[in-house]
Amino acid sequence: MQDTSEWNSQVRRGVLELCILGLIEQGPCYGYQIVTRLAESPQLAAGEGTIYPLMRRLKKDGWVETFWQESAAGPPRQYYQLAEPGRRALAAMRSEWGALVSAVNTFIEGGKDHD
Amino acid sequence: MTEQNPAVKRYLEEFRKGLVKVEPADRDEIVREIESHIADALNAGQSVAAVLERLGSADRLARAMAAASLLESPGRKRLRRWLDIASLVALYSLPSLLMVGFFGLLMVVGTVGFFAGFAALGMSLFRGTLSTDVPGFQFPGGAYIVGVLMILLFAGMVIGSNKILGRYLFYVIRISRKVLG
Repeated sequence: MQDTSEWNSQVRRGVLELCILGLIEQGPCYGYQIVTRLAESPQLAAGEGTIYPLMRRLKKDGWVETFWQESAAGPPRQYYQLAEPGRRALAAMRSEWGALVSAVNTFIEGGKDHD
Repeated sequence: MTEQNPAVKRYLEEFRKGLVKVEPADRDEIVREIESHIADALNAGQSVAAVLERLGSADRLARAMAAASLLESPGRKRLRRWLDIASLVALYSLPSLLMVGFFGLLMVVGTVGFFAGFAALGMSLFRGTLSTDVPGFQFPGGAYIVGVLMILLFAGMVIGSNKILGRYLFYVIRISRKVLG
């Protein structure tokens, strides 16, 4: 297969925020948790160096809130949860995403059978 | 704990150093979070080397965190915009216009005086006399001195008011552009 790693990384950067917001919606998560869960999908290829700064930006923008919680096995952890603006952003991104996927599909469906 | 491992300690120290531009409260929070991450990763069985490698260079991570940290929050952006609008209103108000008028006038007077100084100088040299004809100002070399003094004084006035006016106008233009987009 042709090497599309450059294209992949561009696309990945765009959807990472959406994935993280979707993940946090299911329940508050701390940094290591987010990193591990996202690592389960290698297509996202998002590492600590990308995720932590992104979380900080989401917090600055007011999309997520944080709280510290004691942990039995070590130092306290900083948990992230969706704030109201983040919730609204996620809903908007969700519908945008569906529309985007449909649009892309109309362009690429045609050549599906030739590879 | 994590602090005891020298490689981790070194990493966190370098990391903290890279956050020097960040507010102390934010900086502590950032460092604590990465410390917590390292602890969780080690507890999950990763080696110190692997954890630190996945984090990437301490300097690079610090720069990325600082860049994210120094972004303006939406509330502060809104406040700054209101302040800009307020300063714009002040800038276009009467006192402001009077000030512009005053320095403009100063420039005109200065320019006139500047050339009057040259005229006085020229006249005294042309007449071949170095004494002034102004009553009450009888002293040798008077017109010459008066001419030079006027040139210096009014040159200063022109340059000074020019600078002030120029800076002020640039400031008004800059704020106007920012607020009006």
